[in-house]
Amino acid sequence: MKKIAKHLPHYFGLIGILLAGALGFIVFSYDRIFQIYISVAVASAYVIWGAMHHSAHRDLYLEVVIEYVVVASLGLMIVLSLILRV
Amino acid sequence: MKFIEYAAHFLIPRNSNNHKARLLHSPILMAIIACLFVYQLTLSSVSSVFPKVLGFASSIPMEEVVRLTNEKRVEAGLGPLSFNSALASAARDKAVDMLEHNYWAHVSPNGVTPWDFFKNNGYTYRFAGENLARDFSNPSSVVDAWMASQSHKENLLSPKYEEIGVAVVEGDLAGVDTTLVVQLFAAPVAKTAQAANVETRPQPKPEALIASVQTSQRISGGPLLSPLDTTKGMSTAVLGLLLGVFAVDEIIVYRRKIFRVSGRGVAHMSFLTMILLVVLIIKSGQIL
Repeated sequence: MKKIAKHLPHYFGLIGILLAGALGFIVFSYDRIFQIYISVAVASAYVIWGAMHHSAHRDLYLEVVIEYVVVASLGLMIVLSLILRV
Repeated sequence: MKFIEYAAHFLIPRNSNNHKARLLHSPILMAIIACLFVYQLTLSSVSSVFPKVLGFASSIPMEEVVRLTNEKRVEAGLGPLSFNSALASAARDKAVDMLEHNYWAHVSPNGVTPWDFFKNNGYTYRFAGENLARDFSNPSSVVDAWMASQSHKENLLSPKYEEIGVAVVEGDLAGVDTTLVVQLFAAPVAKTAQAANVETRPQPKPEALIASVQTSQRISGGPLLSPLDTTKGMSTAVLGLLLGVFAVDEIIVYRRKIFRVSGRGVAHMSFLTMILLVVLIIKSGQIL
């Protein structure tokens, strides 16, 4: 919890990225192409956020970067499977 | 007992999993991605082989689209549009043309515009407009989607238009079972001139193509399961499980003050919660 408090501005940035993505999905409800762009942008931004956050915290390792890439890919896979299904 | 041990190894951080729930290790997450991919491929195969079991179901009566459109116009203080069969025929021709030439656009790849369908059906207009929709399950969601888009709403609520024609056509668009809705608006030049045009320019109907598509609703005998709903269910289950395991993992690691090289569980949970939100808000259907 101390870590979260220490890096609160980082988490505000993350919440901002995620809220912008969710808002984009609501505003462009019927624009599939734009929704795909939003998904890729949010997933990429998440990985970049993770790398920057861990770099600032001095615990950036390849294993950590891979974890963020995998979680982002999982999210992207789920969203794309829905976008391309509708 | 062995099962409980195995479940704990997968779901709770402990010595056996290097103090991180095995389910949250990158190789396992990659395996989940692969499983979801295979699941999607299977879903697509099953829905194409057994469309009665797993397929797209829609019930969009043309008259209901007209009624809802007029309802929106009346609510906005405008007069209702009168149904015109020549416009409905033009709308149907447009939908059939999209299916025949595999496109989803106002102008076909061959350069055929919506206005060509008006002319082919003997309708001479002063003003005209076109709204398109596909893959919606009911008429109110179609009209609501158009109303949510500024350009489509302008068409729907334009005081310039006097008549409307709607066609709902089902068929195969680029290999996907699709329901197309074409809505045409217009103000005729003059009723008498238009009637004369209809008489002098009768249009032959493409009989072969009519056989390959179904107009209007497919209410009875629809598929048992929708691929979208099935995908939503599976996605929600996977995300729910991961969010739960991440939460338990974070709490245990925090309480036991375990140091480990890992991503931030709170960040992963935030990201997956946003994905869950998207899964819940995503709707079927596209408009153009």
